[in-house]
Amino acid sequence: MARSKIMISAGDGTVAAGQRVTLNPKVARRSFLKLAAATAALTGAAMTSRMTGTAKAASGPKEPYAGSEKIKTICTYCSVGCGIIAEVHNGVWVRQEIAADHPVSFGAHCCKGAGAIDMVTSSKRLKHPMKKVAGRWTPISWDQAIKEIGDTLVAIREKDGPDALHLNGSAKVSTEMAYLQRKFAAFWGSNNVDHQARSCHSTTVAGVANTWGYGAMTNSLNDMRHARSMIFIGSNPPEAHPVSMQHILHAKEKNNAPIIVVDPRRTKMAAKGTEYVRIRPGTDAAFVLGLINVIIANGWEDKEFIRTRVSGYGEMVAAAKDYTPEEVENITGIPAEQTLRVAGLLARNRPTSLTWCMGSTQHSIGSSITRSFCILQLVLGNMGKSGGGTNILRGHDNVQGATDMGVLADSLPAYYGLADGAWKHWCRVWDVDYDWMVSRFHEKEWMNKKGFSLARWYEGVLQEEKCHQYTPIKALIQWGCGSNSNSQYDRVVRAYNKLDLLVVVDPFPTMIAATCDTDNIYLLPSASQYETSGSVTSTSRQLQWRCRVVDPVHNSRDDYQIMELLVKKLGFADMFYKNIKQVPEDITRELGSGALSIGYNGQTPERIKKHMENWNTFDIDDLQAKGGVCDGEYYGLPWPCWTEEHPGTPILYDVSKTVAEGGLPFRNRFGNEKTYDASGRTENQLAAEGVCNPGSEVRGGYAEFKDVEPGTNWETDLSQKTIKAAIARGMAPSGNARARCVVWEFPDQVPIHREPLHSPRPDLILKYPTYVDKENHFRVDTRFLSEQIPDLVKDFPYVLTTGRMVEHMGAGAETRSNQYLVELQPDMYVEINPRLGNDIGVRNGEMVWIESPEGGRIKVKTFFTERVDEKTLFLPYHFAGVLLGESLVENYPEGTAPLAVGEPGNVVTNYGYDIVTQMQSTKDGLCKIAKA
Amino acid sequence: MQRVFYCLLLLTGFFTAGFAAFVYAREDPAAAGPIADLLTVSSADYYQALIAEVAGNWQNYGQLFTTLQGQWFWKASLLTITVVPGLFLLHYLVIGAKHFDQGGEQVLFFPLLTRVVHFFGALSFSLLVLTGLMIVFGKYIGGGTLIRSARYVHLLSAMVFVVPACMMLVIWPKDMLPRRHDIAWLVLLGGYLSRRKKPVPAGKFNAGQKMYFWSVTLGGAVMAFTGYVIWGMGADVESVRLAAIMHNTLGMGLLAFYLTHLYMAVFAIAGSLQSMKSGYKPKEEVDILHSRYKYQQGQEAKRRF
Amino acid sequence: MARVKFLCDVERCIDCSGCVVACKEGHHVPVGVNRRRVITLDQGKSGEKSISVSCMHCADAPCIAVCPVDAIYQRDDGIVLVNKKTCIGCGYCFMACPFGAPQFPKGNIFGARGAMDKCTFCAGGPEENFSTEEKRLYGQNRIAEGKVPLCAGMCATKALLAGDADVVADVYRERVFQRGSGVNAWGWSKAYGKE
Repeated sequence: MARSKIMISAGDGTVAAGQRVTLNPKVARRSFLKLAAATAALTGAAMTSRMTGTAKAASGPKEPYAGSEKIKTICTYCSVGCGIIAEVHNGVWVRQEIAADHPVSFGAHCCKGAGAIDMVTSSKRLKHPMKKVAGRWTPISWDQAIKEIGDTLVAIREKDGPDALHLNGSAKVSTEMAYLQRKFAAFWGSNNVDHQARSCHSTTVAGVANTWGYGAMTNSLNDMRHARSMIFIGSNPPEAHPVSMQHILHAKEKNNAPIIVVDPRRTKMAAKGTEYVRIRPGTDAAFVLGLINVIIANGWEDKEFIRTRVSGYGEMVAAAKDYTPEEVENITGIPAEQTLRVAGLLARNRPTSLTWCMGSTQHSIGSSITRSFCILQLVLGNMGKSGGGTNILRGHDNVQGATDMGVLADSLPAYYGLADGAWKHWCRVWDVDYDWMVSRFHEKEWMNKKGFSLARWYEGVLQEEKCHQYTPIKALIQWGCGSNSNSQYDRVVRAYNKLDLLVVVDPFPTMIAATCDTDNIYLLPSASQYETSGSVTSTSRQLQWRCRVVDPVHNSRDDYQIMELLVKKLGFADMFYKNIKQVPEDITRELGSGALSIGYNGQTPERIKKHMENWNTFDIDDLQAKGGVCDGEYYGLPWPCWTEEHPGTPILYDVSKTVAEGGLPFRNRFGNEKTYDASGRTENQLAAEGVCNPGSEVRGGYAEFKDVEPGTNWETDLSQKTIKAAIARGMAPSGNARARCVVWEFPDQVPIHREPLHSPRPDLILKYPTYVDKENHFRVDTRFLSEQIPDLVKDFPYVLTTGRMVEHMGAGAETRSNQYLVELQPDMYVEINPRLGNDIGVRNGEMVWIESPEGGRIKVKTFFTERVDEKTLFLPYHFAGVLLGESLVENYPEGTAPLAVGEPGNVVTNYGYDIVTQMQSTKDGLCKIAKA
Repeated sequence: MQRVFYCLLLLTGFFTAGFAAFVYAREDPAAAGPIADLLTVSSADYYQALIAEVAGNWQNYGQLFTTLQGQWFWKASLLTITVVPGLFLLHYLVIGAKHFDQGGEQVLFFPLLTRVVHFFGALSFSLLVLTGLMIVFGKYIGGGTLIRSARYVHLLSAMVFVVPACMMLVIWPKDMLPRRHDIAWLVLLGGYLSRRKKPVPAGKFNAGQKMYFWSVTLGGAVMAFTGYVIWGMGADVESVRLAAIMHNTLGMGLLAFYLTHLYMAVFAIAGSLQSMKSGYKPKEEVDILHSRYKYQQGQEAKRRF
Repeated sequence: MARVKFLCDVERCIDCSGCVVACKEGHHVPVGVNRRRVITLDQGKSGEKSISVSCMHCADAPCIAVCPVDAIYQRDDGIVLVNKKTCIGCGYCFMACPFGAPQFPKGNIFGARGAMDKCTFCAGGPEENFSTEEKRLYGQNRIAEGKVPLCAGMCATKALLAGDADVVADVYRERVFQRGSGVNAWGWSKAYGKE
């Protein structure tokens, strides 16, 4: 282009004669035409940009991962136990496939299960054993870690005794591993062992097992399809057991089943329900007794069932009669006419499936509440029927297995308890000398005493409450247990910082790593359940087998390896692994040989694995394999599975089938006869004449089997001849008894309502006071009546309750390290009714301080919603990593801080424990709230 | 003078580059914002708020936008870039350019600052028009990297254009205000329909130039604002849709004006391009085309802008 | 063959976000881009409903109509896909979409958007099937493997249906019938007082 000069003004407006270049119009025209031509060329060349969308050429690879393996495992989040198909290519888990054949989930997942692969791939996994040295996280070798931990443990044991150690085991390890955790505690010499079930369904197990023998879900998730009505009390399956909704909604759609949802919040379950009942937290027993009252008043009870299979009925009726619909309204806030209506719905649409979860269990009267539910089902005659039952949905993926394996302070595996007979039984199973076992304990008496529980082990450390143990707790192993599900969490944190030794065994560091300021803490990276194998028991009592998908990632080891290292170091490996060579199958066999009380003996590893191979042969409605290699068996061989030919017991207490085919009467666990304290009446505790399974030799009730092998009963006869003999006679080895409404071992023999310790109703505290204080409740004095202050509500006017969200699991260490789950749910919050929010002067999303009567404080964001009413606040409990408004992200080992942190809801949950199981009462409590 | 000009050019270049580097550095994709920034509370809450944002009332502007963008914008643009130049071509062939005595007395018409501002404005505006057209007709030029670059250059040019546009609004508005004689000028169409050199009623700037000025500045402001909304999706989707409709519609109008201005500046008046560079117009031209413009030799020389 | 469609059964959707995470994990979608989302209306109130939304692969797709570079195309089976290499990130498709399906990851210049990303019905993109490039840009290509989309396959309650439009419509129709709308609301069991 011709260069042009800009003329400089000469000051007089003229221009010096000189070079002047104009754009010659002729030149311009040429250029213009040239440009046009060029454009046209470009236009022609580029017309192919539009795609036609036909199929691409068929050449190239036929599949994305040629030569890959598809490995079957089970999701490790909740107890529904959804199948997972993991596609592994060159040892790397590349993607999840749809497990469409799985007889319970049919390929379904919730957001957590859909992201299961993240458990293995998350960059936040603990990669090396870590030790705090001079306040800094230092990676160490496994050898060093085990050596130091072992040496410290031995030193503590020698100086303070074996009860100076507390082991918090896990609901998220395999059944085999849970069994080893309990065995470890026994071989170590202490009953200070417990796990998450304590704060989950411990009151269920106690209440339900004491009613009719076993404390587990009686039917199955699939069986809920056949319910003609359903009632959910304190249970929120869309958040906590999403895939179970497949079957629940089927009942709703196919059977037009009314779905009654009883909850302080209008939950997602209420959104799918047909009737919503808003209840004050902690008053479930009153409501259900009210229902029972209405049912009996109208003559709707199942008289024949009650006559033949229930005991203590009259005594129960006498206690229930005070719970009229009007009184129920006074206590619970539920309108009387709604109680009447619900009772009618249940009575007219049987069988009813009754489900409850933490909303009902986590109270100081949890063990009464759960019994009242059982009694309701007995009164309606819904037990032992397809579509009925008490369908208790457990929490973690293997809390059922861990509970069954007795990772509990008050029992050895399989609910044998802690009496001498139980110890002798298990010593026989373990093939060790009973006297040697006694010698492992500080003194013999400590063998039979319940240990500290998960709910209050920290009191043994802090020594601020009166404890009943010869030594404080000085060492803690937290093995697969997130700490922030403990109420009064600030006390827990103080305890961590007071220990001489703290060992965390977990795939993620957990909040424990962030809150511990001392140097005494070790982090051992365990592999996730996808990097190991073993069996897992779902909420429907089904056993499934997890196959190893990938080898342990980073420098983690699987739980079995860690246990072996520890046990070897502590010096009893030979005894411990006497009959265990092949891990984990030999462990399965060992625990099966001993867990006769719950019938774990029939589910051999081979049988369980066969079920995993043949998912598609099991029928969706009754879970029985119709043809194929598992023909006749029920999926997962639900326990009790009495022999290696037994098909499993799909529905407990079902007397329509033979025992050999999976039928079972109520268990004879409480003697044959009882004279009631309240009424003086003596009643036969065995089932009535004519009520028994088909083919039963004894046509009516009978006691549990004993002395087939002299000196043993069906639970202690390791040869299993007793069990086989019973089955051969068409009878259940556990007897044929009545379910009892009166549990004479409990402080409230018949369940009644008592106000929560921290109650918003001073008038009802007077009318329904709580229990007297309990001394030596799991080794620590526990306050009840002295804690129940009527005026407390003046300073702490709002009811506090907690719960789950579908995006997070438990203490949240795993899910808050998953980027996608965190994207869905990054923040801690408090659910608050807009009216209450406006009254206290906050806006949606603003920060508030919530404070408990114990002085716990958290700073959280508000979330305005009409789910809760104006008197109630709701906190999710999954968050951790923040304390008193300060982020603890810096305290995590480098690169392992979770993506989402928040205040733990349990910092402000109140003091309160169940009278029988010491379950923490986190679902009822009081608090105050103020703008931050 | 040249030195000053080149200094200014360099300065602008550095400024733009520096600004670009600054912004580029901030947009480091590896340092994604904390996840907590993405959402406030739960998925349900977020998307409940989002649904109004995301879907809007599609029937309102969504459908309108889709129809306009799918069918009409490109047709209108094509019409503009063919018909308008076509008409002018016709004019050129029939009537031809106006010639004035370049060798005679010169009048300082455009002081230095004016020319500098106009230069940068012209350059950036031309880029805007060009890249805008490239985006409109992207599918015919293959899409992909070329058009993506055009989009980025469109943004850069817009940012550059803001400076001269603002300055124009400072230095010229007095002369650009409408006067009564503008109506007469419009009736005459500026005298462009005749080959005769008869004085036409216009001040320093004629009505056509005034219209163009206000379109470019005020219209440009609207373009900039709507463009910003589209670029950053910085509003609810209904507003974004409306902004896109306005941007494209006004853009076509500006395109037509631009082509007109180009024709006037380059072809219709011989030597006008040189005038823009030197700042001087032949006295004859001023007397004819800007007959109402009162200039004085001495005083003009002192004008700075 | 018939066209494929999505349908989310609102009576069954429980807002579990299984579909959301299944998609993200399966295709390694970056945080911030949501090919599929669950939207809940009337949260906490009576009548709360949730629905899972993604690109609906419209028959007369507005996004295809407005794209200035023709980056979006529709296959014979109805699946609408974008060619990320052609896309210039202008965002018109987002403005045109009634569902807000187009998503834009962060670009590099001046906060510009990157190329548009959206639900592919698990059908990958224009690159060669199962190639590394296809995986990198679009994620899995399950349709070419003869498999169903991950979101619908992993839906917790089988609320989300995906597949041949006729089959999907059939399944939904049966459900609606079963639930008692129309004449089934007062069927024989109610007529004769049976429960």
